Amino acid sequence: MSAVDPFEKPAPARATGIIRMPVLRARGLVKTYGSADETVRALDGVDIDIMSGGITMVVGPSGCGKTTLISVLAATLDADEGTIEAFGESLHDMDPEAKTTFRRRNIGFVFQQYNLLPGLSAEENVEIPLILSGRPRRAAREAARAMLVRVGLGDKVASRPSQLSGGQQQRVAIARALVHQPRLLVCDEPTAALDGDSGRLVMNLIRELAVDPERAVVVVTHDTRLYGYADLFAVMSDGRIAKIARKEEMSSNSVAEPHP
Amino acid sequence: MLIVALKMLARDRAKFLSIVMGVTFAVFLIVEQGCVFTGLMRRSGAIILDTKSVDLWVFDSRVKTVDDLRALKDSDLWRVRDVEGVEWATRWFKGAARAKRLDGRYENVLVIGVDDATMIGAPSAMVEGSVADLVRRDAGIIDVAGSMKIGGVEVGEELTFNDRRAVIVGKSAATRNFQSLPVIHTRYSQAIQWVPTERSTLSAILVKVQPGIDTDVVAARIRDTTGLIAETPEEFRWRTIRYVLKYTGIAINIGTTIALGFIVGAAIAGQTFYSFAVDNLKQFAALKAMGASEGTLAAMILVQACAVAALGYGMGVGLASLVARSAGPNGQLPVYLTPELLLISAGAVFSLCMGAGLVALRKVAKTEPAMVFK
Repeated sequence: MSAVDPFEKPAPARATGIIRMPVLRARGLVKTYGSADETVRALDGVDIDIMSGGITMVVGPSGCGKTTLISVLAATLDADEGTIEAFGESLHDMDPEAKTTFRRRNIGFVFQQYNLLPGLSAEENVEIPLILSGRPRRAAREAARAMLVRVGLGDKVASRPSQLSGGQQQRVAIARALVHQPRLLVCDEPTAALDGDSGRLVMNLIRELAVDPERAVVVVTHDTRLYGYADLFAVMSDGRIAKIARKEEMSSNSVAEPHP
Repeated sequence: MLIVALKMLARDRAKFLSIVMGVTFAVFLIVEQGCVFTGLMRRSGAIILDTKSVDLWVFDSRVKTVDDLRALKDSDLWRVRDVEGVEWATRWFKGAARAKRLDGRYENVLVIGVDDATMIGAPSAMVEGSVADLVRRDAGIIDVAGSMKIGGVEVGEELTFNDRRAVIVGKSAATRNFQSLPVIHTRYSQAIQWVPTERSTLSAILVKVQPGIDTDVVAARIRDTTGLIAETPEEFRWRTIRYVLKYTGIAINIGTTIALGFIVGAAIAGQTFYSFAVDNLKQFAALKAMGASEGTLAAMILVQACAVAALGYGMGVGLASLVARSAGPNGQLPVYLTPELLLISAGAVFSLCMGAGLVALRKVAKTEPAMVFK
């Protein structure tokens, strides 16, 4: 298993970057926050299909409902109304325990602030999804190490998060998100806390390791520099999907090519 | 995930130490004050405990404590001996006297008079000398702690009681009594010379029950026949302890300290544990998002609580044991560490930590996994 060159320029037309089929289908999602006197309709009737085999980028201005949308799609937040079919299962019908199991089996997360457990080493952090799935510790350890090698951190397995740079921490987070082979990868502003080089490195890794015909990748961002990594855009505005577009359909002003 | 939980707990060392210290403090107070309480209670019945080979104590029906014995008639001894099932019954005397050293120093002491012929009731554990030496003229055996209290009385030294000569022929390992008075054992006939007494001198009767006969049955017969109280050493000890508890306020004073220790410990541990959970909410939310079930998170937090409890308990008991140990076998401090006390304090501290853990768990349980996106 070879490490990915993190600075390799992604090939936009790679086979794995071709949208295949919808694996997650949401209809009529509504989510309201606040009290009766003052409510904010964060999601206002969202319909969206998430496809496997590529990166769906949810974009839009701050406060438009991006985070709420991925929270709902990732089964971490209940919508007030609407339905979600994911991998043949009805998320909206599941009880909390079933949703927990669903997330454990199907979803990998990459967070803006990494959310690595600071008391654990890199490999221990990466092991967590496997241990939660009941994988024996030894097998989990081996898989975690292999995954860290793939993200280029084979020499950092024993390092604590505090001993790693922001970019390295996010690479550990990517390894953690992918180690259990999830069918959906959810990335919330994965480069927001990183400088330009580290951000590109992280996105290249996501592109290289995560994009798979059997996996859907959703990236939420407001960083236009990342648009070149997307295969499909869901442009949000005021809690609604204003536009679904392929990369070539987005205006040249808003879609920049991936940085080398 | 339980190892993950422990690593999460130990990561913030300052917070971790403050939780453990809080629990340690609570355990120390509970155990140490508990030791003082049991030590005092043990001292209150020390004379009874130290009088071995006795099945029953017989005493006046108005007696409430071993320190308040009322004189019996000599004829009572014969009446008790006549009771069916009694193997033997011997006289026993207890009185207070003032012991004077030749250099003029003096100290109030307890004088215990045991049967001249059998020496039943004499010290069972000797540090120096022998019980057999009590047959010597004017002989007395002093307890080690008491000898130090008088100022370092040595074997062979002469004292005076009630202007009568006494010679220390040995030192016993008698348990210190409630008033911490030195205890001098001597023959009955000698004791009533040393201690100014009333006409009747018999403080209590020590009884051995015939083998194969129920002690309770014999005790009931003695009560019926003589009108005196007959109790096993344990019953008599508890009669004394109940009196001390009722009339001294010790239970309230020490109980208040123990309660304060528990409350302060609970407050420190609870508050710190809660703030630990709040500080780690985002991590717990991330674990939830990744698919950690409520049960897994509950197990993690309760393992953290157990770890804190175990560490705090070990350190608290260790400290309290050091204090208890410093008292020594015949020490000045009334501390006595019992297995029951260890069990009770363990129950208290684990309840305390579980309570703190449950408060933290409630906070974690309410946390939405979506919080991790905020």
